[in-house]
Amino acid sequence: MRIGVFVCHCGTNIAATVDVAEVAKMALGLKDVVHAEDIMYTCSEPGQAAIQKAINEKKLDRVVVAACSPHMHEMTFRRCCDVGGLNPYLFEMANIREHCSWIHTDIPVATDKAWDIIKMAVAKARQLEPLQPNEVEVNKDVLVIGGGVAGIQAALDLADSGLKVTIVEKQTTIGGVMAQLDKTFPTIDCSACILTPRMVDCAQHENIEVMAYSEIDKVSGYVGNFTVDIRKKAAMVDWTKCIGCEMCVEKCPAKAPDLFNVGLEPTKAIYIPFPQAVPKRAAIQVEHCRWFTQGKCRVCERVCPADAVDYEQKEEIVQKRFGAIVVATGLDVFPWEDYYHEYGSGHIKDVISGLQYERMLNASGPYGGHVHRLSNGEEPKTVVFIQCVGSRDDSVGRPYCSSVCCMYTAKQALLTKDHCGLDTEVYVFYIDIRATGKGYEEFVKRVQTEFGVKYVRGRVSKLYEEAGKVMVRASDTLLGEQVEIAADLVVLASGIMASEGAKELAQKLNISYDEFGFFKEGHPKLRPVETNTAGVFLAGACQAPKDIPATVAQASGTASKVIGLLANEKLKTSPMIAIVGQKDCVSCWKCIEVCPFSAPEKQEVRPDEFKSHVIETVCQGCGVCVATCPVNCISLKGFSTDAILDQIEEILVS
Amino acid sequence: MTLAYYPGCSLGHSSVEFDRSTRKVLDVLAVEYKDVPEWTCCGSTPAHMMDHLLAMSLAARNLRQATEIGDELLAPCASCYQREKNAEIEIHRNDAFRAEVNEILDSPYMGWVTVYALPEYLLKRVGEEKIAGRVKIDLSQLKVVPYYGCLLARPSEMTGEANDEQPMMMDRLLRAAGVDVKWWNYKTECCGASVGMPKVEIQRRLTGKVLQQAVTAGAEAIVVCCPLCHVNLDLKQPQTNRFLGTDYEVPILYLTQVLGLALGLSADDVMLKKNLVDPEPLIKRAIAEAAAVKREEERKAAEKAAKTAAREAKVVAGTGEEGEATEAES
Repeated sequence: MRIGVFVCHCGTNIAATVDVAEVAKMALGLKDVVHAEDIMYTCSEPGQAAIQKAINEKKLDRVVVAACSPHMHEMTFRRCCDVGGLNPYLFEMANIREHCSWIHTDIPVATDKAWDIIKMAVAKARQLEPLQPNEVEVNKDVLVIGGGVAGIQAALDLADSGLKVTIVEKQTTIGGVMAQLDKTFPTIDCSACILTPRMVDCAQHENIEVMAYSEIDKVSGYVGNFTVDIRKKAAMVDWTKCIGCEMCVEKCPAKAPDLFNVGLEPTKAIYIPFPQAVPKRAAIQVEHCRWFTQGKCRVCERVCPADAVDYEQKEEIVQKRFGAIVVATGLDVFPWEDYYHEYGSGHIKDVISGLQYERMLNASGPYGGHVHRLSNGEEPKTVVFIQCVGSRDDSVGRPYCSSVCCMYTAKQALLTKDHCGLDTEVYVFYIDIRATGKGYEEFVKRVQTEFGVKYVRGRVSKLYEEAGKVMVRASDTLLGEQVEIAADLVVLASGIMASEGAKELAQKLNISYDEFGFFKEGHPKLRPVETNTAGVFLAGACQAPKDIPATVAQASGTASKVIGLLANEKLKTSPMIAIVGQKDCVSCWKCIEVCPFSAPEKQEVRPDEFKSHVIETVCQGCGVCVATCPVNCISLKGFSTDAILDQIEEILVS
Repeated sequence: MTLAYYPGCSLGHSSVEFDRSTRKVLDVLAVEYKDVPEWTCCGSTPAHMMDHLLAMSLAARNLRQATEIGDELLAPCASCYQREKNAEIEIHRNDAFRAEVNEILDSPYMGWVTVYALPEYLLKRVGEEKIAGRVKIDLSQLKVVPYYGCLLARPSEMTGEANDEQPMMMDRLLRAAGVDVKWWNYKTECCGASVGMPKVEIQRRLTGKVLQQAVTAGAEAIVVCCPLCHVNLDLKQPQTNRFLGTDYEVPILYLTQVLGLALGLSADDVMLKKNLVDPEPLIKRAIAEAAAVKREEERKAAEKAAKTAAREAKVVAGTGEEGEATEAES
């Protein structure tokens, strides 16, 4: 056996605390080590050339690099060995940076520890065996979860490239939050005008199937070969017959909360969220329907010209296969009523959320775009906006910035002046103004100077009613004074949070999420649309609060990543997987119980005799079965029990 | 277990009606209690502004006295509650500080007494169900807002209130007693007591605001649990009216006065005569209205029952078949 050891300086990252030249020299004294050297930057081109040169000249059959975390450069060095003519799985990495130099300051101590880590890596390298990657067929269909602007953009990009796409949306229509918005900043163009044609494109695209009013029930499989159970909820209307004429909505006698209009005015128990809905199909909210709650009515059934109402409809599970999954589940608005009791907990009629104000401003909203006080219907003379409600506030458990509220508040302030006249008094209470996008700062300046919106820096401490007004008590932290404004209407810039059910979905998809339920990207800088589960990608506000331009950009980025992945006819899978020594297997099936990927199966080795067998293309190499097997008959390639015991022995002996 | 009752100085004098009504309510609810023997000052106002250790030691002495009765102490006065609760938390958490305090005390406090505010005790140790079960007088037409002030709810991690901006303990107790509790957003704003001496005009404005907000909310009386709030809102109501040019006449009732009335105690039992803005006409009217409302409800129920019986008779006769659809479409 001929082992080569390469110790990296990583500039001063390692060399400042570990005597790299000394440990390289010591390594030469280890059994089987025929070459050792220290290199300034091992991952650089000259560094990799030095490894390849040594493989050739010294006939190395094992390579150990002592440098950074395998997370960082294991793939780099495996490729380097491959090019140099050595099986890439005969490479072993020793982490003497994150695990050693970065966390120590004392040079002799750090050097000792680095030496231990390198000895262990060499011990493991002796036990390595050459491995060959497997190949699996790739399914070319893509699942997009969520039909907001992120999902729509990703689906259209993917479908245009020739891939078949299924959009699964939990509401009865695609469109998401963007469909609820009135105008968009900083250009004041109509949100629906730019979104609804894209929704129609989705419906008409030959490569897109829209599954509205559906949710993800179960996900199994792996990159290139996902199997997904989709639960089609019961709309109590046969959508193959429904023509979206809204006769039923008109005649329905039962009122129900209107989520699309954020509860401003009720809708009917049978409803279509908005006129441009895609698909434009009716659904019954059974908890508000007279037939379901009181056992009489059936008016919708009688008026429907298409005979589409079906009170007996049941939800159904549809199973589909996909090669890749795009998660675009968007956002929910922070429920300020439950947290901001100083703002009246929702009891004061003229205190509304930003999203409610969007619906009030909207010409096709419940009030035809008439801005008024909900208490008495009058047009407001003084309007106050309060920013950071549910954002940047530790006391409600939301320390992060929602990133869109500064801009949407500025936009709404401008639209208020536009709707109610320039003489309307408009105040914005803010902490900081964050206007970092293209044209954003200029827009806020225009709102302040051209439209005369008064910006006051300070938090509002109390809202209460007095003489028909909403009293706004706050501090002006620039003047150092208490201010009190008698407002007609108060709009709260309620922040953004992950959508309901995000955590449960993450668990089904085996992707990670942060403490607020936002999905975690693979790497904050270099893998912004990938997740740590291969084949699952992210788009939009499900990853972090973001505005429409950023959402669309990320969705297109995600689409291009998926297209890149699915351009392969076959995918190479890691050969570092579990293998069962069937002669020792006692058929207890514990491995089947514990495997998160359903990789082990019962294999008939002789008639009526079954043993465990791990399906190579399904196994992800997590090692759970190896640790669970009561007779130790499963081993993990690349992490054999012998290799690990040798590593431990190395450090215990010295 | 017997509850240690700490009256404090206010309850012996300016707010004797708070003391009397609290004791009577505890009796009705069958809570066994005894006064803290030889209790002394809780360390409120002057001491805690001047010397932290002195203030804590004053409070700790009462905790030690309470151990002679049990390990639960009720301090109805909100200010006493704050002082005693602060001492409980700091001394129980920090052995070194306990030693420091014990240096000062004539005999050491070694116990673990839990201090309760009045609404907290009634809610957690007696319970809404028990109170609701013993209601004798219908106060459903008595419209009130509970006013917590600054000492009862803040900070929530100390007082056990879920939210110090919108405390609910008094609301829940009053609802359990059948009282019509109005929602308002002024429960914890300052009543002006802290500036009542040096800045009278500020006190008048703050007090006036509380009265005005209560009336706006549709309340006819304000329910309090703090002798200082009571002084400001009740005793100083005429002065406040004069200063602001208003004519408020809002009775200010102690929580236990209202609960007591609902539980069947008499006006004299809860000493309604002690309140300066006379609450008796309001209470009498509310009780009379409740009786009237009840009579009206009974009349309507009887009418409905008669109608239903008539309709059923019709259905049996076979004439009511088409009723369903027309009703749904209307």
